[in-house]
Amino acid sequence: MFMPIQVNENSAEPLYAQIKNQLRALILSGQLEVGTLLPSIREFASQLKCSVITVRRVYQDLEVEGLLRTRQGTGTFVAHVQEDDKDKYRKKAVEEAILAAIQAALQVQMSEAELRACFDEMIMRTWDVSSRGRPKGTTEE
Amino acid sequence: MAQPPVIEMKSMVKQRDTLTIGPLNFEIPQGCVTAIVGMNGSGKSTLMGALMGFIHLDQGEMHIEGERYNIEDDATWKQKIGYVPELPNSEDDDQTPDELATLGAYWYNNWDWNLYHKLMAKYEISPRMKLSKMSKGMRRKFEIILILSYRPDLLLLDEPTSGLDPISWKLLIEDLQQVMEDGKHTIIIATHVIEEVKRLADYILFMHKGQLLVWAEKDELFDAWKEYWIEGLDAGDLKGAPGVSWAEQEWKVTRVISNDPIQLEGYFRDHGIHPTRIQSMPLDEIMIHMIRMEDERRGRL
Repeated sequence: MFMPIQVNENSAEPLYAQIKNQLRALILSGQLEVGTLLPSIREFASQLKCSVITVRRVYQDLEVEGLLRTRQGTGTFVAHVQEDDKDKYRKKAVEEAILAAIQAALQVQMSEAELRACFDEMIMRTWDVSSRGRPKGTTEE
Repeated sequence: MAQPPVIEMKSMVKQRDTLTIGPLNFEIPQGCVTAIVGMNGSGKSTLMGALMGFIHLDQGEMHIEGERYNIEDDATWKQKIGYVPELPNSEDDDQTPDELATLGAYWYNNWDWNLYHKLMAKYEISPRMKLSKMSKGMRRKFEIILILSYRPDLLLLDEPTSGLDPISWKLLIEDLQQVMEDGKHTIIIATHVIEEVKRLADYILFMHKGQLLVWAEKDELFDAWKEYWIEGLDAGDLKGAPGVSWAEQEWKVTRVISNDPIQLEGYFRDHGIHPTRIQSMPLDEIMIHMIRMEDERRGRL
């Protein structure tokens, strides 16, 4: 089974953290359904070109978080995810993206007022654009 | 966790002409692939020979699954290992694959004829061609098939893919991954092919001038080395910054190689430095910088 996880080699974030965060996101966003059988540790490691030690750690950590379950001899599955965890995750994912945008604004010394104005403009543009039937997520320059 | 390592090397020393190998201390964990890397003449093949029990150690000892290795246990040990040496054995020149397979079936308790025939067909090896008549790559493939066919617990491969065409190479990597699938097999592979390390290895054992420069989990090693590009900063400005292994200025950009990215990025944050680019480093470059640092360290002694 192919897992839509992409390792970013140009990131300072350790490989283990990247894989764990992306796998958690796939589960909490519902892209991986409850009961999905994940690849074996060796198979996943060769897909990602990482070591089995890293994959084993990721599986173990997400098991502790309750997102995965391992059945001896069968493999590792996506466990039942609480609805409020999903909601929390939706909010958290957006919060993180906004935080990244704020960091970018700080790097170019944008003021708070400028940033707010920029944000409002982007929201309006996005909603206007989608109501005109353009693809979601695209904005006019 | 409780199971002992397949091999534990304790203070191994071996004198080879002008090169002293060791003292080496390391473990080979079960279910993992350990890649031995290093330049020509760094002691890789001697180390492989020692693991195989071919080479008598001047000092130190080897433990197999928790027990000290004795030459008397050799027959049992050899049943469990599949060894592909660096160079083909010239004694086999006049033999054909089927003849050697018959011998293999006689010697090895776990010999699997089905597997042998399957692999011979898959890699398109002529079962009745003399080994001396084969191309380098075909002979290599056969040597690997021969050891896979008795299903050893431990594969000891000394530059196994030299001479292989890209398609056979890919098939072989996949077959080795398949062997590892159950988590009970172990592979030790000496190689110069970076892509092999990337695809297969869990641990890296880096030999340099007979010494063990690094024995580390692969991802930890890669995480520990990063390259940064910084604009508007002289290389000299980074004097005293932690985790800088190398800094050089190329036109307006300073290129920094870090062997402790977490420390260095903390320093960048504290000093308002924003790298324009961060990237991971290929294994060969990491090796070059490790050798340079080691040589500098020895020079200071």
